[in-house]
Amino acid sequence: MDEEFVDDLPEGIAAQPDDFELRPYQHDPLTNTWVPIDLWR
Amino acid sequence: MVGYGENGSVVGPQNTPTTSAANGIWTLGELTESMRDGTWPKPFAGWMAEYNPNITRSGTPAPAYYGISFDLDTNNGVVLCGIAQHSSANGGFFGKITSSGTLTSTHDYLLGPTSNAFTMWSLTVDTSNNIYTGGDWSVGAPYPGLWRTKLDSSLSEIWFNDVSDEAMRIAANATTYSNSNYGLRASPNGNACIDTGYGLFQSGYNQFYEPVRASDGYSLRRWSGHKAFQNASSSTSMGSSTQAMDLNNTNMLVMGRVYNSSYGGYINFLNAGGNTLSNQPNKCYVKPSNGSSSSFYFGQSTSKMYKTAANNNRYPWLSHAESAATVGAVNFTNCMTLQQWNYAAGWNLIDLQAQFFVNAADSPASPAPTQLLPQAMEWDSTDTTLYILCKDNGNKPQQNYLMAYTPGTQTIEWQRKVYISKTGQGSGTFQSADTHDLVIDSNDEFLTLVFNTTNSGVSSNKIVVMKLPVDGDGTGTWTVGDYTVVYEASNITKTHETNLTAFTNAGMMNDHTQVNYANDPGTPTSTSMSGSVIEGSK
Repeated sequence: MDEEFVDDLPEGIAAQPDDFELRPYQHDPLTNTWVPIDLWR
Repeated sequence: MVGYGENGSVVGPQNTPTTSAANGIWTLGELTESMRDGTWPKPFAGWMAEYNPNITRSGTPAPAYYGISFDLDTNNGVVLCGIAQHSSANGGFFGKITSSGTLTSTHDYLLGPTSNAFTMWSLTVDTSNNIYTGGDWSVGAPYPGLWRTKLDSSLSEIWFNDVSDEAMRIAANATTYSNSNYGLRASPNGNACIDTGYGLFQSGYNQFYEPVRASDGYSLRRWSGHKAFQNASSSTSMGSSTQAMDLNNTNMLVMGRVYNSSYGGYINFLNAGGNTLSNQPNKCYVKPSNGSSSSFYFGQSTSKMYKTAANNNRYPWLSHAESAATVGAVNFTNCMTLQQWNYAAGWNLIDLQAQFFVNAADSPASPAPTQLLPQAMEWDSTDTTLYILCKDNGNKPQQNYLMAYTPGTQTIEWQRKVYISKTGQGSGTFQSADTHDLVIDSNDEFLTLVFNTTNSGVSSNKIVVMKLPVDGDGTGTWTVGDYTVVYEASNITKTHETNLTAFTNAGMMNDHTQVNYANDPGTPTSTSMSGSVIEGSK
């Protein structure tokens, strides 16, 4: 790894949803929300 | 005016033939010269068609098809795959249509029992007519993972997954999904594959790229010491995403987004290098040249690598900028941008820059569209003409556009709107047509387009396939099965501001050694189905 990485969310970023580990989410910077990634299932 | 004789018409004024009309009476000499000069009308040799795969389980056809991907075989026939929606579980399918529009086969594709839900994306046909595809699955295993396969032209399996059919995850016991636009992608000559996915790793959903040996499907990282890699955010909980990816016969490009607090938030990375990843690719990060790197980032994007060796180490892509950034003369929010990482001329050179803007008057949508979003791009065999397929952000309806652009002269040679709607459900209703491939034939004569559609908000069980001449011919209003297709001139505008630069090539890319192989998602089976094609007409 080239740099120091942390897993804490940056200041001002909304908390990850409770079911974050059960379905994939991506952070939407425009709304500062975590949006489910559509899995087409 | 032609040089041989001048009797274009024996009655009335002299005529000059065009590619669309030659009125009057002509001598054989004039005819020969005009055909030689490409100024004589010729019959339209393309087609539009509606394809119904009719993938039927327990007597019920799938009500919708998603995520269609396709390529052309060496006979310029269309080989496509996609996801078939079923009440039991979604599965895959294949279709093959000849260059003249004849359906030759449709196959239901399963990974084990029909209850195994899975996706399949990003089909490639190599120059030996072998087929590469893959996706992800979730049912019947503790953690979703990725599957991949190589089939021959008869859809018989050449390989499936890694050794002992083991499937891939970003790390042991880590939930992993396939990237819905890129999945498993192979080089045109079939010498290299890269499997692209993302998974829950280091507290975020992070993307990763695994080199795969095209001859047997084995991981080149696992078995030959090549490199898998990922680009992590400074806070790995923020995850990362892939937005454009492609291979040619020597090189690869990945473009995506990460969050890095050192650079003010979201930024886009570029990775490019050899297509088997025997070494880690080169990298850089992009920002507006006249402004801050703070939260400038691309959204929907696509790439197609160049085809000639002279353009090795040049990496073009199309993007829509999501950030609300007006930089210099350009409001990036409203345009689709073309650019290339010109690594051959220096790691920090972004050039070929052009910005394309939708013309609201081209669209029947209300409210009027304000943005252009890239769908797919394609080069002719000499890398001279770039064909761009994009869509606007109108919802009712959403419309596609196809254009031929010559970067060398910064000229849009021609452009067309491609408005696909269910007949009787015109403007005022939600209509969309989506794709992520655009492929030119081996003679540089025709472009193939394949769309899955949503009509009045309902995903359709029909697919629209088009073979269109590279000169933009075929304009008019077409009836294509259940659809009305308006293929007419459009009025996209462009500028050529050089507003992007690469600002660093340090840090942020990891040698990703944790990729894990385990668990078989189920034995693949392929069953012939009786699909149908209806050819359209004007």
